[in-house]
Amino acid sequence: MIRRTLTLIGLAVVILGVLVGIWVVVSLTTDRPISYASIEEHFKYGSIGSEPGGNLLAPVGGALPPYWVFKSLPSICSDKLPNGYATFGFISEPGRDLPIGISRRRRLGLDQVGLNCAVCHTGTVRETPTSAPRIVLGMPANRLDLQAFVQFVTECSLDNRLTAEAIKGRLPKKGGPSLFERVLLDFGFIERLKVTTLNLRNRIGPVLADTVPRWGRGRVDTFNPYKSVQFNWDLNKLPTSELTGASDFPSIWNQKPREGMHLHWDGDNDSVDERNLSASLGAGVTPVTVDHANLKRVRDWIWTLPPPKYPYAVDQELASRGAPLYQQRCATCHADHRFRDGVVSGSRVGQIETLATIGTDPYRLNSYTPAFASNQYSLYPDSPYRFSHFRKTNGYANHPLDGIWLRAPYLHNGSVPSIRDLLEAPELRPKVFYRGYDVYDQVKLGFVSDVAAADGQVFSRYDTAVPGNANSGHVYGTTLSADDKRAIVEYLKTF
Amino acid sequence: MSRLGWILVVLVLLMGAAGLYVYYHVDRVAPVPQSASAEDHFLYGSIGTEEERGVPYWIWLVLPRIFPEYLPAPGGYAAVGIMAHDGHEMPIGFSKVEIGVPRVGVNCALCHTATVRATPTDPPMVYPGAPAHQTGAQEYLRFLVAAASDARFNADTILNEIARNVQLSLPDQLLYRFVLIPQTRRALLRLGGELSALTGEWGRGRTDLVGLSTLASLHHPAERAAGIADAMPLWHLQTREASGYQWDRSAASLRDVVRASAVVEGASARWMDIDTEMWGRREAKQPSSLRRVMEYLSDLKPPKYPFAVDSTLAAAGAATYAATCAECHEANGSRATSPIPIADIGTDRSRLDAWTAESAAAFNKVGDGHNWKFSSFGKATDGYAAPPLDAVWLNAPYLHNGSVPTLSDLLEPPANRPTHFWRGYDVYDQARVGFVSNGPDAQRLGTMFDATQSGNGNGGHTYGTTLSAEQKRALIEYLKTK
Repeated sequence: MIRRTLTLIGLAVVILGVLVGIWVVVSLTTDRPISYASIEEHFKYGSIGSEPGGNLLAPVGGALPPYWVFKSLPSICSDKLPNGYATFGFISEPGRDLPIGISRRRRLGLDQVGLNCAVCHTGTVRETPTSAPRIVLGMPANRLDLQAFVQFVTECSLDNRLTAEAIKGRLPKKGGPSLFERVLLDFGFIERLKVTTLNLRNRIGPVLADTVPRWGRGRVDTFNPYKSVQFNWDLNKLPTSELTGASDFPSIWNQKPREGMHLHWDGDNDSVDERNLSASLGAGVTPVTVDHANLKRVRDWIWTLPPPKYPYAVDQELASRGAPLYQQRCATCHADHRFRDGVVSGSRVGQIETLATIGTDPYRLNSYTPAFASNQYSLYPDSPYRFSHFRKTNGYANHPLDGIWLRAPYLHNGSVPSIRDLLEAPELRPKVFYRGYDVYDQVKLGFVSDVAAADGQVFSRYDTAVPGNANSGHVYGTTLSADDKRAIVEYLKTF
Repeated sequence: MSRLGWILVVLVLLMGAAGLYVYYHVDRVAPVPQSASAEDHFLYGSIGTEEERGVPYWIWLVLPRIFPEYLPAPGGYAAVGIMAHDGHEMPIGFSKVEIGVPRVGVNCALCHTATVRATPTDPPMVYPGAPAHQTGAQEYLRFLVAAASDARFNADTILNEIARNVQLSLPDQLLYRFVLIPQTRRALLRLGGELSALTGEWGRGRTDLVGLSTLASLHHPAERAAGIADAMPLWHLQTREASGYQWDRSAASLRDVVRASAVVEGASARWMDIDTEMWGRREAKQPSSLRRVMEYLSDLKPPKYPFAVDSTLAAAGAATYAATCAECHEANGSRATSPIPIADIGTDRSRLDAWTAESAAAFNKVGDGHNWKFSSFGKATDGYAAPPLDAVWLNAPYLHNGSVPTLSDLLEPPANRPTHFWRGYDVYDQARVGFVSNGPDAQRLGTMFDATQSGNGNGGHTYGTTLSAEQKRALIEYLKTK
């Protein structure tokens, strides 16, 4: 009798053990993004695999803490962020749990969040300060201060107020984390998160610090964080000049006619697909955690995504007067209004102009070094995706101007607020202005840039005297008459 | 059969399978596909150094990311001048082949391919066969040894870093954990022990080839003078058979020099046997790799100076060249074929003294019992070669020990030549003709050369130092056209 009872108990224990084991293994190995049928929703909220993955004890990839922590950070560190993530220029849609550009995915037994393409390539525009912002997918994230966002997330993750109790106290009664996540919270999960965050901060700290000019809204230093995150270069040992590499987010529509052109501001890559994979690294994917299928959905969509048409009035007569002027002065390098339909006119479109020729700010160019290219060739090793198209260049590339009205401020470093200002000689261009406001200036073709703050948002003061911010060079068209300049500006509205 | 018997049979089969797996992944030499172009074969092909001296690829890939502090600057291997170009996965001078698992080795191009930039913002130009003035071979070896000496050179740390790049299969993870990582560590520590016998700082672009040869032939660390010297340019090699090879002209056969260089770089005897076997079989699926290298080099032309030349000034320098330099440096010059006695040339004698008749005798025995046995190494000379000056612009820094940064400095009396400068920076100094050897970037990216150190003397070769400033300018302009 006793023996039988013991056998039964033993059996029950074994079965329970097996069940727990299965539960743990299934929880840890589940890799399930939230999926969206609509491509626009996928672009805005879908996962490209930038959430941490691999192994729970040594996760790889990712830049953000898990979902429940991420949601709690603004209230835990409310002194640093009284208005939530919107402070950094994130765009939130009504009824949405997360802002555009943040994806959610179950990995390593946790609800994780990650960045996707939309975070840097979605912006807003509006006609007047009182009109509702229009969200434009694929345009540069004109409002986003990515540097300040990453700085906040790392600082708050390391803040002593972030504890397991603080997270638990903020969980909703219903629809909270899974049992597995609750168990993890009790077993050193927060400590592990802090170690991971410290590692990240140790690596990218120097580009977040004030020793390097602020990126400000709408800009990112593409390659320096990459040097430390992917290759563990000690950024403290690089010259400050090399760490000064902020440049504008680009638009990502209409990629098909761009294949084979020199992409990136310095034209360092001529493959759209490799450029996409490289940009994904910046969002936090690694060669082992990237979601190739989901990324390809985005790639196929932006391949033919049309640039948004200028929605305000265009003086057609003036524009048609501007067309021949543009053909004379600009078309050789920048193609014309037909590029939106895939027509590449102009012999130097997508080619590189040497720094001496173009004369714009050199810092972004010099932040990309031969040593860095050499390291990039070992990314995505042992796979058909291995990087092989990157090249060190000696200038900046000529980009087609489709949808140019939404790509303000201008030049690679966003140092000139409007097209009209760009047509002035460098010494006459604005020396100090503000970036991040989405109200449109239809006269100058650019965003309103003389407002320091509005609607609770503080904009980024841009000082062209700061290293990396020079508004020099690209003097094409600056000697035209004021009338001719007006005509070119009008013609560019048709792009 | 009894139950025990069955268990034994199953056990034996399992062990056999595991053994086969390990053999297949550790020892089996897979056929090495040779690059289509002879140049790519020279730059990235295998000369058999992966097996014994090589490092498994995945370990090699992640070491700079785990141990950046053992490199002189940020940049991975590029920080010691070891760089991949034009989309190639491997740096110039590095091969990657399957010997059970992918393994990395070095080849001739490591010390014999130069990079040059016109300005700091220009992309590098690559010159196969030119002295690799930018390569830090000693720094690279020291890095590997320092990493292996660190407690973090363990399976956990290395596999975690590998997992950021590739998903290894479970059997491969076990193989790395229990076989390859410990084996690599032991091999690198052994290498460190051997290298500790070589005293002296090579710096960028230089190698103690004599010391390495002695290690290869004598195997035991011996107290000895260093024989550090610049790598030599490898063009027009066939035409030099008559005058001998190496700075001291101590080698007489090009084939032997190529094979010996492979052995000194770490080619395994097993690989050398196979390669020699294939030497005459040109139609084979895999012809001799070293023969292909040798033939590539025999045809290699000296690259033209890529910057502007003042042709009028150069023409004016031709006569000075004929009067001052041609006797030794022109192929038909009266003193071109034999070494210039040390008493005449007066340059640093350490390299000459380092290679002795005993060194030669010992080295000739390295291949004993093999089909590639050497016979042509000797101690024939008491001086240094006066090499032809084809593409002399790429031979900077100058003299056999690379002790003079530019041609302008070489035409100064020894007392006026710089005693401290930086080697390895690849931006070209068109005014002085040589690489930029000073300034913040040269200091940050290069290694300091100290001419006051033993073996580094910058004296001697005073030819042309008494010319007028105008004659020197013309001569230097003429030399750009060589």
